[in-house]
Amino acid sequence: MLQPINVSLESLNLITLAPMLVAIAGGLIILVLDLINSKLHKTLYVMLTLLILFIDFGAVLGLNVNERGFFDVMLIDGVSIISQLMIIVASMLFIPLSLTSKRFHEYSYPEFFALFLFMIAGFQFMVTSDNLILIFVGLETASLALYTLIALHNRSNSFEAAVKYFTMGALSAGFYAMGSAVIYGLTGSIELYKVAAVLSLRMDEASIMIAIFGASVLLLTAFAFKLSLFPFHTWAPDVYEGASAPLAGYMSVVPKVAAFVVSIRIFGMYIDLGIEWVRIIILVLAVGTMTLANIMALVQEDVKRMLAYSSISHAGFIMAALALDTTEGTTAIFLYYALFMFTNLGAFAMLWISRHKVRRFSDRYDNPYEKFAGLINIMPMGAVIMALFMLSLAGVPPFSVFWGKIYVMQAAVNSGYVWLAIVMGLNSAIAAYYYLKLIVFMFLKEPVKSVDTVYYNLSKPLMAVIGLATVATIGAIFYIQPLISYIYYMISASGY
Amino acid sequence: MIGLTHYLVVSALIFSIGLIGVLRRRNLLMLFFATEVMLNAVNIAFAAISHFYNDLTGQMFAFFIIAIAASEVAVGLGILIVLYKRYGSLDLDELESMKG
Amino acid sequence: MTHVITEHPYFGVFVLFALTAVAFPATLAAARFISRKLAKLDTEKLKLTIYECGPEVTKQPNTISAQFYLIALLFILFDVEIIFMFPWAIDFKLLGWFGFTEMILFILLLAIGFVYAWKKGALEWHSIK
Repeated sequence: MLQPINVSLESLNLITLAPMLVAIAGGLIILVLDLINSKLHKTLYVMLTLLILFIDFGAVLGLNVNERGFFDVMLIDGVSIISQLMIIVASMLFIPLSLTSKRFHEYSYPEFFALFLFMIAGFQFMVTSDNLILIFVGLETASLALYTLIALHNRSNSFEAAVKYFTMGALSAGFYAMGSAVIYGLTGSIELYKVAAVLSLRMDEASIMIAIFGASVLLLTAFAFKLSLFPFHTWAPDVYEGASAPLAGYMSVVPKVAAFVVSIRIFGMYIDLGIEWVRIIILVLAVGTMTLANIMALVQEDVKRMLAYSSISHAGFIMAALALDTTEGTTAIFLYYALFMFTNLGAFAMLWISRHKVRRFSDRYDNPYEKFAGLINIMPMGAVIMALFMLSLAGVPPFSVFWGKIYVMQAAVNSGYVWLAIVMGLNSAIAAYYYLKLIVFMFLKEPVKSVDTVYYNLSKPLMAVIGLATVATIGAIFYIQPLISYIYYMISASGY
Repeated sequence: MIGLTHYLVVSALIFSIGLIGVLRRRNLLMLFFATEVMLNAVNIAFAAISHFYNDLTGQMFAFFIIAIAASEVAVGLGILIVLYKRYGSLDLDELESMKG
Repeated sequence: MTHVITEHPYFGVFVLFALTAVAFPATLAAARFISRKLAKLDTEKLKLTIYECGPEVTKQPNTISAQFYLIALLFILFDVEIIFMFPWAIDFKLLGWFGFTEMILFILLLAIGFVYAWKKGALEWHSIK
């Protein structure tokens, strides 16, 4: 007779699970509240969600670096702590955007907030593990919640967007699963540190490269879909257009941060093993992504689509930093996203302010450039803030994203990729054109239609969020140095 | 004697069939079926490799894939029903309204 | 631990990958082409209509109630969760109190989902119109 297994609570190290448990329990509380009393106002849910996010934030801050827990499945290292903090901060910026002055369909459902919290828990699971199963489960939890959130914005475009995203997501789930099956077949384990150990023993076996090639191409395809990299980026602009503006801004940051963390873990491992062509493939993808997306952004007639392509291009920029696989390069990824997050969410929030029920300027687009023509006369403050975000995205010196770009280029030069830095510089120059185009429209053109329209959705919470984003964008010069050293410390502590 | 290789070949074949289904089908429902086929092909591979190594991890992964595939179907079909009620069609070419 | 040998098997698999990616669509296209050529394209409209005496045939819209889909979705979700209970049930004694608590938590989560679906009226037949 077998003895029952005894598991002591200390060995589980439940504190490593605490942040996700907070988010999941919060989602369940919201659902139960709705069951008890379905007449509650949405402001309550927004406040409750914010509160849960605060507790979650505290729980992440309370974690120790380099710990394992729950049968060694959870891995708390610097990367996971930083990315969780970024995910939660972005969510805190996102949630108040639901308190618009006009009523929108999706926010009247408490399910929206519950799903949102489940999604955050999914992302947190994804970044705090090096176990392929848990990464897969987290990825799918988050993605499935996100498809539903997109579809909840009750418009025909948003259903189309949800279906497109869903199809692509299901395909990439298939690729991910097959890739991990090949890895499992090669090494007999699905924990990345064991995988690395076995692979390094088998590196000089004949024809093992073919199998490794298969695994890494499958996984790279899966994550290229999630990160909207060049050959697989086609879904992104449509999905961003169909989703509501704040959700589009959110999608351009948070899922990508999570996917980047997993990419760092998996492809960093390959590059560390000395498999040079993985680096080359990533570089090709990165350069292709930033160049092509920039060229596509030039010809867009809609500001939201332009911003979608621009965020694809920024993702390509960051992917190049991934290929460097130095501590500096990895720091650059997180620094860039930490800065890009505020600016991009701010820009999308500006689109959200001017959201209308009907398309007033064009049959096809919600936010054509004409809508913003002469904004300086209608809404001077708004025009200035929007211009600020555009300048920051273009990488004009004192504003936030500039520091990210400089840091990425510096990392590239320091690892001997001078040509990469030059390509990045050229791309930033191209990108400046379409950001400036919007500024020209706002400042130099006459308004197309009568004036009343642009303030439409404004409310106090939205102003607060946009104000915060503006402060973060302008004041980057004051906090950039401590931010870099914090991120650098965390990343070198976790050994990347 | 049927060994691991045969299972892996079957799995790869089914996976390719699913992939081609995703690429070629224009009907969304069929497309979802194709992605399910892909996931189930992976399950075969995991079960076979797991048996080869005498290690249960692969079967655990297969379990999770089954559960995730089910929730994927639930969410996806939910969205599809709404879409069908709106458009009266599930054909990708007819649905396309956002381009460029 | 002996690992999977990579020499021939994987190579074969990837050749098959390539073959299926190229040969399969080609076969499909060929089959389609041949059947188009062979088929007698005598498609008079009257020939394709459903024969019915008297009234003109109208195409029936889909009349299946949305309730069927909802119930089916819920059924799939709750049905599949049982795969996590089977392994636990087999090794019930071995897993001891720890496994028991975990399973209770799992069932509790499912129960919240169930109560939610119930309260929202997803299980009543005429609730959604």
